[in-house]
Amino acid sequence: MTGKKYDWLLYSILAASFALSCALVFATRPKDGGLTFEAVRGGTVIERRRAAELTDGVALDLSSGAMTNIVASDPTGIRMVLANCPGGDCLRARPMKNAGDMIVCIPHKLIMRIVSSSVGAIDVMSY
Amino acid sequence: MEYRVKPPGKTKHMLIIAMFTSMAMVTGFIESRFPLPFPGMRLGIANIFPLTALILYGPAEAISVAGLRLALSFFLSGNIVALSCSAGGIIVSLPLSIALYEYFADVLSVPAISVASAFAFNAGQLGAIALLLGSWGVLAYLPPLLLCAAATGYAIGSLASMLARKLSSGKQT
Repeated sequence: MTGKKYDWLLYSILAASFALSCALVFATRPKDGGLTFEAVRGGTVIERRRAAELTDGVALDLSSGAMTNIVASDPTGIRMVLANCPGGDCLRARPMKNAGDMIVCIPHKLIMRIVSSSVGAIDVMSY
Repeated sequence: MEYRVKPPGKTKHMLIIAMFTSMAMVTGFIESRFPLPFPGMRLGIANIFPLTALILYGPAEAISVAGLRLALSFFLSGNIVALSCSAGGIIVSLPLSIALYEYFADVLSVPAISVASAFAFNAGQLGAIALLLGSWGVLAYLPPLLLCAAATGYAIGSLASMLARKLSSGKQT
């Protein structure tokens, strides 16, 4: 299992693409400040509120039609506590606590994330 | 192309593809039962078989194994989202592995090709998810997935290379 002549070149290209992806994510990461919880379904913001409002035990129902998604806050952060999506990957996702943290429920086309409040000064927006 | 074997007879050829596909499906199923620390993260053990098929027999066999596995997994699970994600990854990674192995096998090792393929798979998969969700925000997952792909891609490439060496030794084929 020995390497070949130009393995280093391929590994260098891959390392560069990894570094580029890290730089892009870091550059677009929200700045520190007050944190906002945001839920987006199909590209539309369906819920936005200050993360501080989501204290322990507070739950948010983000369900739509037959798609059930309920998030709640506990000492570890904001997590998905109930979802009827196949696979249930979102239920096993790490709780969100800091700016940039995200939970995605692909089958239900739902993205939940923590963003910097400086992005928008809206307290609550739901429809 | 050091492990490439002569094309077998028609029946044996069909049996080999069926065997590789079934092994890929079984390992993929077993792998999906293991909880992983990061959503969307997979070890990709099942990819050993299309890669071994590419090393031993050629692009047509690799495409057959990967395509059949994708289609049969969809028929068994009925999960269109999983199909879209896997298809997004395979559409990008399989042509890349084939091109790298067919044209640069003399200067690139199988583990290196496998790492490149794993990178491409994750990028393609996230691209498909971003299209499904209508948001490019999921690309924030790319760095940790690429980091995982580097490790799993190398391991899978090494295993595929070992398996191809064993199978091409003449005892099993």
